[in-house]
Amino acid sequence: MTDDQYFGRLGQAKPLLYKTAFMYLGSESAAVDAVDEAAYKGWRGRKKLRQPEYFSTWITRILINVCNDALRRRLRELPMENLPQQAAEDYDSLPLADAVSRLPEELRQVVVLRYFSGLTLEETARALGLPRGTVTSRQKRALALLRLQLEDDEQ
Amino acid sequence: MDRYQEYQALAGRLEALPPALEYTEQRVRARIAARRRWARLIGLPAGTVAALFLMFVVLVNASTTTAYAMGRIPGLAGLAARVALSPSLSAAVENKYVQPMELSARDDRGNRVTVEYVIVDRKQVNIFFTASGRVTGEIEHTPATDNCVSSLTSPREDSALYKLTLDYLDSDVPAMLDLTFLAGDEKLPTLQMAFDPYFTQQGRVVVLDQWIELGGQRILIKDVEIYPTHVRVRLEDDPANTMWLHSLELTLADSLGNRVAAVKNGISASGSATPFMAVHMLESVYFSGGKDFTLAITGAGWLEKDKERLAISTKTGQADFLPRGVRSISVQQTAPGLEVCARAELAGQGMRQIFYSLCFDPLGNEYNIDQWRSVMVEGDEALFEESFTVEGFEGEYILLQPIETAYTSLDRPIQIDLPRQ
Repeated sequence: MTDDQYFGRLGQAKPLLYKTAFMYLGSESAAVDAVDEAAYKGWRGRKKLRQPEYFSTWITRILINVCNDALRRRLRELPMENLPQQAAEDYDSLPLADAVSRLPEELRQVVVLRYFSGLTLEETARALGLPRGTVTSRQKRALALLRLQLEDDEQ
Repeated sequence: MDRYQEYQALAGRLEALPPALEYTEQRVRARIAARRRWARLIGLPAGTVAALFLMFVVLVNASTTTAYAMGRIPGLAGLAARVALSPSLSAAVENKYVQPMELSARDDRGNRVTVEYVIVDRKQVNIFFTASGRVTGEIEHTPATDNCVSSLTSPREDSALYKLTLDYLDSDVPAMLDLTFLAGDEKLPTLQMAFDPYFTQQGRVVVLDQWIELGGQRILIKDVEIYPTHVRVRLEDDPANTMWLHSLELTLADSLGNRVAAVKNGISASGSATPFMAVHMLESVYFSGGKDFTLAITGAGWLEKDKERLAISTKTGQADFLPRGVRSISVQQTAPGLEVCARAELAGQGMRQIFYSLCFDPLGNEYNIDQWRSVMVEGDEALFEESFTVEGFEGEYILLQPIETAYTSLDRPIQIDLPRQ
Protein backbone atom coordinates (compact mmCIF):
# COMPACT_ATOMS: atom_id res chain seq x y z
CA MET A 1 0.00 0.00 0.00
CA THR A 2 1.50 3.36 -0.97
CA ASP A 3 1.34 6.36 1.34
CA ASP A 4 -1.34 7.96 -0.82
CA GLN A 5 -3.41 4.78 -0.80
CA TYR A 6 -3.03 4.54 2.95
CA PHE A 7 -4.12 8.12 3.55
CA GLY A 8 -6.95 7.78 1.07
CA ARG A 9 -8.41 4.87 3.03
CA LEU A 10 -7.69 6.63 6.31
CA GLY A 11 -9.67 9.66 5.19
CA GLN A 12 -12.72 7.48 4.62
CA ALA A 13 -12.34 5.81 8.00
CA LYS A 14 -11.75 8.99 10.00
CA PRO A 15 -15.37 9.70 11.02
CA LEU A 16 -15.73 6.16 12.35
CA LEU A 17 -12.43 6.41 14.19
CA TYR A 18 -13.28 9.77 15.75
CA LYS A 19 -16.69 8.62 16.98
CA THR A 20 -15.16 5.50 18.51
CA ALA A 21 -12.39 7.46 20.19
CA PHE A 22 -14.81 10.07 21.52
CA MET A 23 -17.01 7.41 23.12
CA TYR A 24 -13.94 5.85 24.74
CA LEU A 25 -12.19 8.99 25.89
CA GLY A 26 -15.00 11.48 26.36
CA SER A 27 -13.39 14.60 24.90
CA GLU A 28 -12.95 16.05 21.45
CA SER A 29 -9.25 16.84 21.87
CA ALA A 30 -8.41 13.44 23.34
CA ALA A 31 -10.32 11.78 20.52
CA VAL A 32 -8.43 13.76 17.86
CA ASP A 33 -5.11 12.86 19.53
CA ALA A 34 -6.11 9.20 19.57
CA VAL A 35 -7.04 9.27 15.89
CA ASP A 36 -3.66 10.87 15.11
CA GLU A 37 -1.84 8.20 17.11
CA ALA A 38 -3.79 5.35 15.53
CA ALA A 39 -3.22 6.80 12.07
CA TYR A 40 0.52 6.97 12.69
CA LYS A 41 0.69 3.46 14.15
CA GLY A 42 -1.41 2.19 11.29
CA TRP A 43 1.00 3.71 8.79
CA ARG A 44 3.93 2.07 10.54
CA GLY A 45 2.20 -1.30 10.54
CA ARG A 46 0.52 -1.06 7.12
CA LYS A 47 2.57 -3.87 5.65
CA LYS A 48 0.95 -6.26 8.10
CA LEU A 49 -2.48 -5.67 6.57
CA ARG A 50 -2.82 -8.49 4.09
CA GLN A 51 -6.35 -7.73 2.94
CA PRO A 52 -6.71 -4.00 2.24
CA GLU A 53 -10.48 -4.38 1.86
CA TYR A 54 -10.64 -4.82 5.63
CA PHE A 55 -8.73 -1.57 6.27
CA SER A 56 -11.45 0.09 8.36
CA THR A 57 -11.86 -2.76 10.81
CA TRP A 58 -8.10 -3.18 11.02
CA ILE A 59 -7.45 0.48 11.82
CA THR A 60 -10.37 0.42 14.28
CA ARG A 61 -8.62 -2.34 16.21
CA ILE A 62 -5.50 -0.18 16.38
CA LEU A 63 -7.55 2.77 17.57
CA ILE A 64 -9.21 0.77 20.34
CA ASN A 65 -5.77 -0.27 21.59
CA VAL A 66 -4.65 3.37 21.54
CA CYS A 67 -7.74 4.38 23.51
CA ASN A 68 -7.22 1.63 26.05
CA ASP A 69 -3.61 2.75 26.50
CA ALA A 70 -4.84 6.27 27.14
CA LEU A 71 -7.40 5.03 29.65
CA ARG A 72 -4.77 2.97 31.47
CA ARG A 73 -2.56 6.07 31.72
CA ARG A 74 -5.49 7.93 33.25
CA LEU A 75 -6.02 5.13 35.78
CA ARG A 76 -2.37 5.25 36.79
CA GLU A 77 -2.72 8.95 37.47
CA LEU A 78 -5.84 8.46 39.59
CA PRO A 79 -5.43 7.40 43.26
CA MET A 80 -7.06 4.06 44.03
CA GLU A 81 -9.64 5.56 46.39
CA ASN A 82 -10.93 7.78 43.58
CA LEU A 83 -11.61 4.97 41.13
CA PRO A 84 -15.34 4.74 40.49
CA GLN A 85 -17.00 1.46 41.33
CA GLN A 86 -20.08 0.89 39.27
CA ALA A 87 -22.89 -1.35 40.47
CA ALA A 88 -25.29 -2.64 37.84
CA GLU A 89 -28.15 -0.52 39.10
CA ASP A 90 -26.05 2.69 38.91
CA TYR A 91 -25.85 2.80 35.10
CA ASP A 92 -29.42 3.97 35.01
CA SER A 93 -28.61 7.07 36.99
CA LEU A 94 -25.70 8.17 34.81
CA PRO A 95 -25.82 10.24 31.61
CA LEU A 96 -25.57 7.86 28.70
CA ALA A 97 -22.03 8.82 27.64
CA ASP A 98 -20.74 8.30 31.19
CA ALA A 99 -22.60 5.04 31.49
CA VAL A 100 -21.04 3.72 28.29
CA SER A 101 -17.56 4.71 29.46
CA ARG A 102 -18.07 2.78 32.70
CA LEU A 103 -19.16 -0.47 31.07
CA PRO A 104 -16.76 -3.38 31.32
CA GLU A 105 -14.35 -3.21 28.40
CA GLU A 106 -15.73 -6.26 26.57
CA LEU A 107 -19.22 -4.75 26.58
CA ARG A 108 -18.17 -1.17 25.92
CA GLN A 109 -16.26 -1.93 22.75
CA VAL A 110 -19.22 -3.76 21.25
CA VAL A 111 -21.80 -1.08 22.01
CA VAL A 112 -19.51 1.76 20.83
CA LEU A 113 -18.74 0.09 17.52
CA ARG A 114 -22.29 -1.12 16.88
CA TYR A 115 -24.35 1.86 17.96
CA PHE A 116 -22.11 4.92 17.84
CA SER A 117 -19.50 4.23 15.21
CA GLY A 118 -21.90 2.59 12.78
CA LEU A 119 -20.22 -0.77 12.19
CA THR A 120 -22.30 -3.77 11.18
CA LEU A 121 -22.40 -6.93 13.26
CA GLU A 122 -19.96 -8.57 10.84
CA GLU A 123 -17.57 -5.59 10.89
CA THR A 124 -17.67 -5.41 14.67
CA ALA A 125 -16.91 -9.11 14.99
CA ARG A 126 -13.98 -8.77 12.61
CA ALA A 127 -12.65 -5.63 14.32
CA LEU A 128 -12.71 -7.33 17.70
CA GLY A 129 -11.66 -10.75 16.53
CA LEU A 130 -14.83 -12.32 17.99
CA PRO A 131 -17.53 -14.70 16.72
CA ARG A 132 -20.79 -13.04 15.68
CA GLY A 133 -22.66 -14.83 18.43
CA THR A 134 -20.38 -13.40 21.08
CA VAL A 135 -20.87 -9.90 19.73
CA THR A 136 -24.65 -10.41 19.77
CA SER A 137 -24.76 -11.62 23.35
CA ARG A 138 -22.44 -8.85 24.57
CA GLN A 139 -24.42 -6.13 22.90
CA LYS A 140 -27.60 -7.45 24.52
CA ARG A 141 -26.00 -7.38 27.95
CA ALA A 142 -24.61 -3.90 27.37
CA LEU A 143 -27.93 -2.48 26.23
CA ALA A 144 -29.67 -4.05 29.21
CA LEU A 145 -27.24 -2.41 31.60
CA LEU A 146 -27.65 0.92 29.87
CA ARG A 147 -31.44 0.56 29.90
CA LEU A 148 -31.34 1.33 26.22
CA GLN A 149 -33.66 -0.35 23.76
CA LEU A 150 -32.33 -0.31 20.24
CA GLU A 151 -33.47 -2.47 17.35
CA ASP A 152 -30.96 -4.71 15.67
CA ASP A 153 -32.08 -5.86 12.24
CA GLU A 154 -29.03 -8.06 11.89
CA GLN A 155 -29.84 -10.48 14.73
CA MET B 1 -35.31 13.14 28.09
CA ASP B 2 -35.60 9.35 28.04
CA ARG B 3 -32.71 7.01 27.35
CA TYR B 4 -33.51 6.68 23.64
CA GLN B 5 -33.67 10.43 23.23
CA GLU B 6 -30.32 10.65 25.04
CA TYR B 7 -28.90 8.15 22.59
CA GLN B 8 -30.22 10.11 19.60
CA ALA B 9 -28.79 13.36 20.98
CA LEU B 10 -25.41 11.79 21.64
CA ALA B 11 -25.27 10.08 18.25
CA GLY B 12 -26.24 13.37 16.61
CA ARG B 13 -23.52 15.21 18.45
CA LEU B 14 -20.92 12.77 17.15
CA GLU B 15 -21.86 13.68 13.56
CA ALA B 16 -20.28 17.12 14.06
CA LEU B 17 -16.63 16.37 13.39
CA PRO B 18 -14.11 18.85 14.85
CA PRO B 19 -12.12 20.99 12.40
CA ALA B 20 -8.83 19.62 13.79
CA LEU B 21 -9.74 16.21 12.38
CA GLU B 22 -9.39 17.59 8.88
CA TYR B 23 -5.62 17.84 9.33
CA THR B 24 -4.93 14.37 10.71
CA GLU B 25 -3.15 13.41 7.51
CA GLN B 26 -0.99 16.52 7.64
CA ARG B 27 0.12 15.88 11.20
CA VAL B 28 0.83 12.23 10.55
CA ARG B 29 2.77 13.01 7.36
CA ALA B 30 4.85 15.52 9.38
CA ARG B 31 5.67 12.81 11.94
CA ILE B 32 6.60 10.46 9.14
CA ALA B 33 8.81 13.10 7.51
CA ALA B 34 10.50 13.82 10.84
CA ARG B 35 11.08 10.13 11.40
CA ARG B 36 12.66 9.75 7.97
CA ARG B 37 14.93 12.78 8.48
CA TRP B 38 16.10 11.69 11.91
CA ALA B 39 16.72 8.24 10.51
CA ARG B 40 19.12 9.79 7.95
CA LEU B 41 20.88 11.67 10.75
CA ILE B 42 22.07 8.47 12.34
CA GLY B 43 24.82 8.35 9.72
CA LEU B 44 26.35 11.72 10.82
CA PRO B 45 29.58 11.81 12.89
CA ALA B 46 28.94 11.73 16.61
CA GLY B 47 29.11 15.12 18.40
CA THR B 48 28.33 17.12 15.29
CA VAL B 49 26.06 19.49 17.19
CA ALA B 50 26.12 22.17 14.54
CA ALA B 51 24.99 19.72 11.89
CA LEU B 52 22.17 18.52 14.13
CA PHE B 53 21.04 22.10 14.76
CA LEU B 54 21.14 22.89 11.07
CA MET B 55 19.02 19.83 10.38
CA PHE B 56 16.49 20.96 12.96
CA VAL B 57 16.27 24.42 11.45
CA VAL B 58 15.86 22.90 8.00
CA LEU B 59 13.20 20.65 9.49
CA VAL B 60 11.03 23.45 10.78
CA ASN B 61 11.61 25.58 7.71
CA ALA B 62 10.60 22.81 5.32
CA SER B 63 7.43 21.81 7.07
CA THR B 64 5.54 24.35 9.07
CA THR B 65 3.56 21.63 10.79
CA THR B 66 6.59 19.69 11.91
CA ALA B 67 7.30 21.60 15.10
CA TYR B 68 3.65 21.36 16.05
CA ALA B 69 3.70 17.62 15.46
CA MET B 70 6.94 17.22 17.38
CA GLY B 71 5.59 19.28 20.26
CA ARG B 72 8.95 20.97 20.83
CA ILE B 73 9.66 24.53 19.77
CA PRO B 74 13.19 25.77 20.46
CA GLY B 75 13.62 28.97 22.37
CA LEU B 76 9.94 29.28 23.21
CA ALA B 77 10.44 29.31 26.95
CA GLY B 78 12.39 32.57 26.75
CA LEU B 79 10.00 34.39 24.43
CA ALA B 80 8.16 36.31 27.15
CA ALA B 81 11.45 37.65 28.49
CA ARG B 82 12.32 39.12 25.11
CA VAL B 83 9.10 40.93 24.22
CA ALA B 84 5.98 42.00 26.11
CA LEU B 85 3.15 39.55 25.60
CA SER B 86 -0.53 40.14 26.21
CA PRO B 87 -2.33 37.66 28.51
CA SER B 88 -3.75 36.01 25.39
CA LEU B 89 -0.38 35.53 23.74
CA SER B 90 1.18 34.37 27.01
CA ALA B 91 -1.48 31.66 27.20
CA ALA B 92 -0.83 30.76 23.56
CA VAL B 93 2.88 30.33 24.27
CA GLU B 94 2.18 28.23 27.38
CA ASN B 95 0.01 25.96 25.24
CA LYS B 96 2.67 25.82 22.48
CA TYR B 97 0.28 27.50 20.11
CA VAL B 98 3.20 28.89 18.12
CA GLN B 99 4.38 28.29 14.57
CA PRO B 100 8.15 28.55 14.13
CA MET B 101 9.24 30.35 10.96
CA GLU B 102 13.03 30.96 10.84
CA LEU B 103 12.86 33.16 7.74
CA SER B 104 15.58 35.74 7.15
CA ALA B 105 16.19 38.59 4.74
CA ARG B 106 19.27 40.79 4.51
CA ASP B 107 21.00 43.21 2.23
CA ASP B 108 24.64 44.23 1.83
CA ARG B 109 24.19 47.40 3.88
CA GLY B 110 23.99 45.60 7.21
CA ASN B 111 20.18 45.52 7.29
CA ARG B 112 18.77 42.20 8.40
CA VAL B 113 15.51 40.79 9.70
CA THR B 114 14.73 37.29 10.96
CA VAL B 115 11.15 36.18 11.58
CA GLU B 116 11.43 33.62 14.38
CA TYR B 117 7.82 32.72 15.20
CA VAL B 118 4.25 33.59 14.45
CA ILE B 119 1.16 33.19 16.58
CA VAL B 120 -1.74 33.17 14.16
CA ASP B 121 -5.44 32.36 14.04
CA ARG B 122 -8.29 33.15 11.69
CA LYS B 123 -8.22 36.90 12.37
CA GLN B 124 -4.84 37.94 13.72
CA VAL B 125 -1.17 37.37 12.97
CA ASN B 126 1.55 38.09 15.51
CA ILE B 127 4.98 38.13 13.92
CA PHE B 128 8.02 37.89 16.21
CA PHE B 129 11.16 39.13 14.52
CA THR B 130 14.66 40.40 15.24
CA ALA B 131 16.06 43.29 13.28
CA SER B 132 19.36 45.06 12.81
CA GLY B 133 20.55 48.02 10.81
CA ARG B 134 17.83 50.43 9.73
CA VAL B 135 14.97 47.96 9.95
CA THR B 136 12.32 49.38 12.29
CA GLY B 137 9.27 47.23 11.66
CA GLU B 138 7.77 49.23 8.82
CA ILE B 139 6.45 46.75 6.27
CA GLU B 140 4.64 46.16 3.07
CA HIS B 141 2.61 43.00 2.66
CA THR B 142 0.63 41.22 0.02
CA PRO B 143 -2.13 40.41 -0.19
CA ALA B 144 -2.75 43.95 1.00
CA THR B 145 -6.16 44.89 2.30
CA ASP B 146 -7.78 48.00 3.73
CA ASN B 147 -9.16 45.74 6.43
CA CYS B 148 -5.81 45.02 7.99
CA VAL B 149 -4.44 47.17 10.81
CA SER B 150 -0.89 46.75 12.07
CA SER B 151 0.72 47.62 15.40
CA LEU B 152 4.32 47.21 16.53
CA THR B 153 5.67 46.31 19.98
CA SER B 154 9.32 47.15 20.66
CA PRO B 155 11.70 44.68 22.30
CA ARG B 156 12.30 44.53 26.02
CA GLU B 157 15.61 45.84 27.26
CA ASP B 158 18.57 43.64 26.23
CA SER B 159 16.46 42.01 23.56
CA ALA B 160 16.13 42.55 19.85
CA LEU B 161 12.79 40.76 19.42
CA TYR B 162 9.91 42.83 18.05
CA LYS B 163 6.25 41.86 17.77
CA LEU B 164 4.23 43.01 14.80
CA THR B 165 0.49 42.39 14.99
CA LEU B 166 -1.78 42.35 11.97
CA ASP B 167 -5.48 42.50 12.78
CA TYR B 168 -7.81 41.47 9.97
CA LEU B 169 -11.03 43.29 10.68
CA ASP B 170 -13.45 41.87 8.11
CA SER B 171 -11.54 39.36 6.02
CA ASP B 172 -9.64 36.30 7.28
CA VAL B 173 -5.89 35.89 7.61
CA PRO B 174 -4.66 34.65 4.21
CA ALA B 175 -3.01 31.27 3.82
CA MET B 176 0.21 32.95 2.74
CA LEU B 177 1.64 36.40 3.31
CA ASP B 178 4.46 38.05 1.40
CA LEU B 179 6.21 40.37 3.84
CA THR B 180 8.71 43.06 2.86
CA PHE B 181 10.55 44.91 5.61
CA LEU B 182 11.71 48.45 4.91
CA ALA B 183 15.14 49.71 5.91
CA GLY B 184 14.87 53.46 5.44
CA ASP B 185 14.15 53.97 1.74
CA GLU B 186 15.31 50.48 0.83
CA LYS B 187 13.42 47.22 0.85
CA LEU B 188 14.78 43.92 2.02
CA PRO B 189 14.07 40.78 0.00
CA THR B 190 10.48 39.62 0.44
CA LEU B 191 9.77 36.84 2.91
CA GLN B 192 7.07 34.34 2.00
CA MET B 193 5.23 33.19 5.09
CA ALA B 194 2.94 30.16 4.82
CA PHE B 195 0.65 29.72 7.82
CA ASP B 196 -0.19 26.28 9.10
CA PRO B 197 -3.87 25.81 8.21
CA TYR B 198 -4.41 24.19 11.60
CA PHE B 199 -3.81 27.60 13.19
CA THR B 200 -5.66 29.73 10.65
CA GLN B 201 -8.78 27.59 11.13
CA GLN B 202 -8.90 28.27 14.87
CA GLY B 203 -11.78 30.30 16.21
CA ARG B 204 -15.48 29.85 16.89
CA VAL B 205 -18.50 32.11 16.70
CA VAL B 206 -21.19 32.14 19.39
CA VAL B 207 -24.31 33.72 17.94
CA LEU B 208 -26.38 35.80 20.36
CA ASP B 209 -28.60 38.20 18.38
CA GLN B 210 -29.73 39.80 21.63
CA TRP B 211 -30.91 43.39 21.99
CA ILE B 212 -29.95 45.33 25.10
CA GLU B 213 -30.85 48.80 26.32
CA LEU B 214 -27.87 50.83 27.44
CA GLY B 215 -27.87 54.54 28.26
CA GLY B 216 -31.28 54.86 26.68
CA GLN B 217 -29.98 53.40 23.40
CA ARG B 218 -30.69 50.01 21.81
CA ILE B 219 -27.72 47.87 20.87
CA LEU B 220 -27.81 44.44 19.24
CA ILE B 221 -25.17 42.01 20.46
CA LYS B 222 -24.80 39.92 17.32
CA ASP B 223 -22.15 37.42 18.30
CA VAL B 224 -18.99 36.71 20.26
CA GLU B 225 -16.04 35.35 18.30
CA ILE B 226 -13.45 33.47 20.37
CA TYR B 227 -9.98 33.18 18.86
CA PRO B 228 -6.73 32.00 20.45
CA THR B 229 -5.31 35.54 20.26
CA HIS B 230 -8.37 37.61 21.23
CA VAL B 231 -12.15 37.75 21.54
CA ARG B 232 -14.40 39.94 19.38
CA VAL B 233 -17.83 41.14 20.38
CA ARG B 234 -19.79 42.26 17.32
CA LEU B 235 -22.63 44.76 17.63
CA GLU B 236 -25.20 46.60 15.58
CA ASP B 237 -27.06 49.71 16.57
CA ASP B 238 -30.64 50.83 16.18
CA PRO B 239 -30.93 53.61 13.54
CA ALA B 240 -33.28 55.38 15.95
CA ASN B 241 -30.50 55.78 18.54
CA THR B 242 -29.54 59.36 19.36
CA MET B 243 -25.93 58.49 20.16
CA TRP B 244 -23.16 56.46 18.48
CA LEU B 245 -21.57 53.85 20.71
CA HIS B 246 -17.79 54.40 20.84
CA SER B 247 -16.41 52.44 23.79
CA LEU B 248 -17.61 49.70 26.11
CA GLU B 249 -16.53 48.69 29.60
CA LEU B 250 -16.78 45.01 28.95
CA THR B 251 -15.57 41.76 30.53
CA LEU B 252 -15.96 38.09 29.67
CA ALA B 253 -15.86 35.52 32.45
CA ASP B 254 -16.01 31.73 32.45
CA SER B 255 -17.37 29.27 34.96
CA LEU B 256 -13.89 28.67 36.36
CA GLY B 257 -13.55 32.26 37.55
CA ASN B 258 -11.31 33.44 34.72
CA ARG B 259 -12.18 36.98 33.63
CA VAL B 260 -10.80 38.97 30.71
CA ALA B 261 -11.18 42.61 29.81
CA ALA B 262 -10.51 44.83 26.82
CA VAL B 263 -7.28 44.58 24.88
CA LYS B 264 -4.90 47.20 26.26
CA ASN B 265 -2.06 47.27 23.75
CA GLY B 266 -3.46 47.01 20.27
CA ILE B 267 -6.79 47.48 18.55
CA SER B 268 -9.56 47.62 21.16
CA ALA B 269 -12.47 48.50 18.88
CA SER B 270 -13.22 49.09 15.23
CA GLY B 271 -16.00 50.59 13.15
CA SER B 272 -16.65 51.49 9.54
CA ALA B 273 -18.47 54.31 7.81
CA THR B 274 -20.17 55.85 10.89
CA PRO B 275 -18.71 56.67 14.33
CA PHE B 276 -20.46 53.54 15.69
CA MET B 277 -17.82 51.06 16.90
CA ALA B 278 -19.24 47.72 15.84
CA VAL B 279 -16.46 45.41 17.01
CA HIS B 280 -14.91 45.41 20.49
CA MET B 281 -11.86 43.33 21.31
CA LEU B 282 -11.09 41.51 24.54
CA GLU B 283 -8.27 39.29 25.69
CA SER B 284 -8.87 35.66 24.85
CA VAL B 285 -10.46 32.87 26.88
CA TYR B 286 -9.54 30.25 24.29
CA PHE B 287 -7.10 28.38 26.54
CA SER B 288 -8.91 28.98 29.82
CA GLY B 289 -10.58 25.57 29.86
CA GLY B 290 -13.92 27.12 30.80
CA LYS B 291 -17.10 26.17 28.99
CA ASP B 292 -19.80 28.55 30.23
CA PHE B 293 -19.13 32.22 29.53
CA THR B 294 -20.84 35.41 30.68
CA LEU B 295 -20.46 38.82 29.08
CA ALA B 296 -20.76 41.77 31.48
CA ILE B 297 -21.18 45.42 30.45
CA THR B 298 -20.53 48.03 33.12
CA GLY B 299 -20.25 51.23 31.09
CA ALA B 300 -20.24 52.83 27.67
CA GLY B 301 -18.82 55.94 25.98
CA TRP B 302 -20.97 57.71 23.39
CA LEU B 303 -20.83 60.36 20.70
CA GLU B 304 -24.11 62.23 20.60
CA LYS B 305 -25.37 62.54 17.06
CA ASP B 306 -26.06 66.25 17.42
CA LYS B 307 -22.55 66.88 18.77
CA GLU B 308 -20.38 65.34 16.08
CA ARG B 309 -18.66 68.65 15.44
CA LEU B 310 -17.47 71.09 18.06
CA ALA B 311 -16.97 74.73 17.10
CA ILE B 312 -14.30 76.71 18.96
CA SER B 313 -13.81 80.43 18.41
CA THR B 314 -10.19 81.09 17.49
CA LYS B 315 -10.52 84.59 18.99
CA THR B 316 -12.13 83.87 22.36
CA GLY B 317 -11.51 80.14 22.78
CA GLN B 318 -15.24 79.71 23.50
CA ALA B 319 -16.46 76.19 22.72
CA ASP B 320 -20.06 75.12 21.94
CA PHE B 321 -19.75 72.38 24.50
CA LEU B 322 -17.07 70.24 26.11
CA PRO B 323 -16.51 66.56 25.18
CA ARG B 324 -16.77 63.86 27.81
CA GLY B 325 -14.49 64.44 30.77
CA VAL B 326 -12.95 67.60 29.29
CA ARG B 327 -12.51 70.44 31.80
CA SER B 328 -11.24 73.15 29.44
CA ILE B 329 -10.09 73.88 25.89
CA SER B 330 -7.76 76.70 24.82
CA VAL B 331 -6.63 77.80 21.37
CA GLN B 332 -3.81 80.05 20.22
CA GLN B 333 -2.96 81.22 16.74
CA THR B 334 0.75 80.84 16.03
CA ALA B 335 2.94 81.11 12.97
CA PRO B 336 2.74 77.42 12.02
CA GLY B 337 -1.01 77.28 12.61
CA LEU B 338 -3.55 76.95 15.39
CA GLU B 339 -2.50 75.37 18.66
CA VAL B 340 -5.27 73.57 20.53
CA CYS B 341 -4.97 72.29 24.09
CA ALA B 342 -7.61 70.34 26.01
CA ARG B 343 -7.45 69.32 29.66
CA ALA B 344 -9.44 66.26 30.63
CA GLU B 345 -10.04 63.88 33.50
CA LEU B 346 -8.31 60.54 33.43
CA ALA B 347 -10.76 57.69 32.91
CA GLY B 348 -10.34 54.02 33.84
CA GLN B 349 -7.97 53.36 30.97
CA GLY B 350 -5.78 56.43 31.61
CA MET B 351 -5.07 59.01 28.93
CA ARG B 352 -7.25 58.73 25.85
CA GLN B 353 -7.62 60.49 22.52
CA ILE B 354 -10.17 63.34 22.78
CA PHE B 355 -10.51 64.43 19.14
CA TYR B 356 -10.38 62.70 15.78
CA SER B 357 -7.55 63.64 13.45
CA LEU B 358 -9.70 65.45 10.87
CA CYS B 359 -10.93 69.02 11.48
CA PHE B 360 -12.49 71.81 9.38
CA ASP B 361 -12.52 75.54 8.87
CA PRO B 362 -15.71 77.62 8.38
CA LEU B 363 -15.52 77.05 4.61
CA GLY B 364 -15.50 73.27 5.06
CA ASN B 365 -11.81 72.83 4.15
CA GLU B 366 -10.25 69.77 5.76
CA TYR B 367 -7.13 69.77 7.91
CA ASN B 368 -5.34 66.69 9.17
CA ILE B 369 -3.79 66.61 12.62
CA ASP B 370 -0.55 64.65 12.30
CA GLN B 371 0.93 64.85 15.76
CA TRP B 372 -0.63 64.83 19.20
CA ARG B 373 1.00 65.30 22.54
CA SER B 374 -0.57 63.84 25.66
CA VAL B 375 0.97 64.53 29.05
CA MET B 376 -0.10 64.43 32.66
CA VAL B 377 -0.91 67.79 34.18
CA GLU B 378 1.75 68.78 36.68
CA GLY B 379 0.43 68.97 40.18
CA ASP B 380 -2.84 67.16 39.41
CA GLU B 381 -2.76 63.39 39.09
CA ALA B 382 -6.36 63.28 37.90
CA LEU B 383 -5.86 65.37 34.75
CA PHE B 384 -4.05 65.05 31.46
CA GLU B 385 -3.53 67.40 28.56
CA GLU B 386 -3.94 66.66 24.86
CA SER B 387 -2.47 69.27 22.52
CA PHE B 388 -1.81 69.55 18.81
CA THR B 389 -1.10 72.12 16.10
CA VAL B 390 -3.37 72.40 13.08
CA GLU B 391 -0.81 73.54 10.54
CA GLY B 392 -1.76 76.34 8.19
CA PHE B 393 -5.12 76.90 9.83
CA GLU B 394 -6.79 80.27 9.57
CA GLY B 395 -10.39 81.12 10.35
CA GLU B 396 -12.73 82.62 12.90
CA TYR B 397 -13.54 79.26 14.33
CA ILE B 398 -12.36 75.67 14.02
CA LEU B 399 -14.60 72.63 13.84
CA LEU B 400 -13.15 69.66 15.73
CA GLN B 401 -14.63 66.15 15.91
CA PRO B 402 -14.86 64.89 19.47
CA ILE B 403 -14.60 61.16 20.00
CA GLU B 404 -16.93 60.91 23.01
CA THR B 405 -19.39 63.39 24.45
CA ALA B 406 -21.27 61.30 27.00
CA TYR B 407 -20.76 58.31 29.26
CA THR B 408 -23.05 55.72 30.86
CA SER B 409 -21.93 54.04 34.03
CA LEU B 410 -24.00 51.09 35.29
CA ASP B 411 -24.33 50.26 38.97
CA ARG B 412 -25.60 46.83 37.99
CA PRO B 413 -23.81 45.29 35.00
CA ILE B 414 -25.79 43.98 32.07
CA GLN B 415 -24.95 40.28 32.03
CA ILE B 416 -25.44 37.99 29.07
CA ASP B 417 -24.81 34.26 29.30
CA LEU B 418 -23.36 32.79 26.15
CA PRO B 419 -25.05 29.60 24.99
CA ARG B 420 -22.81 26.58 25.53
CA GLN B 421 -21.26 25.29 22.32
